[in-house]
Amino acid sequence: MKNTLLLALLCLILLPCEALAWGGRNHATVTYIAERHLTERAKANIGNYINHRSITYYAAWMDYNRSEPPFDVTHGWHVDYWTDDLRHDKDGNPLPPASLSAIERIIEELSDFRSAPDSLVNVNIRFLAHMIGDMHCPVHIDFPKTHGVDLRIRGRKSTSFHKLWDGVMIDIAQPGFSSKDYALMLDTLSPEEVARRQQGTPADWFKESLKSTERAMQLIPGGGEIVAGKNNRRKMVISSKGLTHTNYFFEATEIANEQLLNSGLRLAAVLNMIFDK
Amino acid sequence: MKRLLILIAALCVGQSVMAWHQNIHAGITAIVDANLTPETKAAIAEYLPNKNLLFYANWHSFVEQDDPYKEASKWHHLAIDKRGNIMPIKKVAKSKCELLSSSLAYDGLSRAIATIENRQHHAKGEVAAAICFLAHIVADMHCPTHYVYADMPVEERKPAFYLPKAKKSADYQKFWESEALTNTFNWRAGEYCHQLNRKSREEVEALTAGSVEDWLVHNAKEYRSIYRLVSNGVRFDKTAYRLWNNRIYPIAVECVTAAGYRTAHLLNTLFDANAEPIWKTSKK
Repeated sequence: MKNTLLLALLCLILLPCEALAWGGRNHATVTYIAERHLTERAKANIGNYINHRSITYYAAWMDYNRSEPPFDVTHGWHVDYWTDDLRHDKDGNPLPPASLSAIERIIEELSDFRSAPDSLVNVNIRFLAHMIGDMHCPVHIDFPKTHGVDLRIRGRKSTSFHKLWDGVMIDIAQPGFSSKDYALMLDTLSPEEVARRQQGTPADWFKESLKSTERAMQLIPGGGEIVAGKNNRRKMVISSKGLTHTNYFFEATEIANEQLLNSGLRLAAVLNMIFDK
Repeated sequence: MKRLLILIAALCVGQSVMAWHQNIHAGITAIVDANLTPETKAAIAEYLPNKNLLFYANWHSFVEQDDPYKEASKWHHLAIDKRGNIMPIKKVAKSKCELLSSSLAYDGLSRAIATIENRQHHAKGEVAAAICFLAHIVADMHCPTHYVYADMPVEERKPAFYLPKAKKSADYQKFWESEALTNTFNWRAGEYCHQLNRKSREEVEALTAGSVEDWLVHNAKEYRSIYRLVSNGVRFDKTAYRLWNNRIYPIAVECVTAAGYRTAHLLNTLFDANAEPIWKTSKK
């Protein structure tokens, strides 16, 4: 009992912080893209387990239930670590399970979905619909430089760097779109390019996401100058140091759009692999 | 007499905001549009030419501000007596209370149905207005807080509840008209249809069985339970508010879905000669 409590405490300490997610709008964009690339058989099989709802209905379900027992154990499944081998810290110590290991376990559990209890398949579909999206969000890879950074965007309320990437940026840069329309706008690749992007494993995709995170960080104005703010928070001001509001958002939104599209295509690839049989 | 005063007070305090959020009305109308028969669509197009019904999803809310449709501003609530039945208009009129005698959505809905039913005797504009009013009122009649229970004290119908960090109480009716859904789903019209227009034929038949009056009485019975979901004076922190929303939104989803299918069914039976007019098939 004592060891369990200690382990739980250790997990809480080691888990990446600011475990938010793509905003609801972006998660819905990801799943709408995925829906467009599901095979008919996969769509039908999935529908049988989620009462014929769209997977988009559950796109943000994990966020809404992260504090709801028994799903509170998923709190750490929204983010992953900034490490080279994804499994160990810099001293070689094993890290607690996070996003990637949870995705791999779920895929394994669903490999023979017809033998699994319906409720397990149902909840695992909800998890995948969310987590494949999250693992492509640049701020869902724990990047210490951006911890606790407050952000001022000219003409708007302050937000955090994490929230900017979760959803505020697309809301500002591309207002007026529904998630469904946004998915339509992004999903224009040739079949060959779609197939190319769907290649690989979740671990490969995660390593690729690390690179997108690096690109996102390089866009920080002034080469990442972050000044001291109130209450030990740090502050970043977009529109300073020669970078304007407009071109920061233009470049950053390009990265976000790529990641949204990739995650939608890859979610479809994973679901087709599992359910198209 | 005491009950009557409670009802009057409840209706009076409920006059400020009286419809689903505009996106939700548009979403319901998108479900309606997807379930109209080609015959019904063609017939409606005679009265609303060159526009989809979706265009008029919130028309009621706009026109009720001014003449000649000011009366429609009172077609949002339904009074329910202590036995769970819609309060008869005659009985309400006896109170000689202008507010009560004109605040029954059922009155507006009955008149819209009668206008459409006898459309050959009405000007095209009157029928067009009746179609728009009907669609809006049936949608509103699936918003739980639009039912006013004669035996329910005002403090129970309008409980004080505090959102995270809020100093002032939120409004339970407003919450149900909007946040009950929009706190969870940020859908636009077409997305409501994509997400919710997924019932099987059997489910739709069960949902649309009975008369309009049956639907409303059934709703009145079901929706009473939403007042058990909130304790008067409760203060939510961020997590508790999210968990509470998780109890609410599945109910709101079913309300909106039922509104879409039932409005479509009603319009189909009114405009499609092959369909039996369900508003005449009350079990009573």
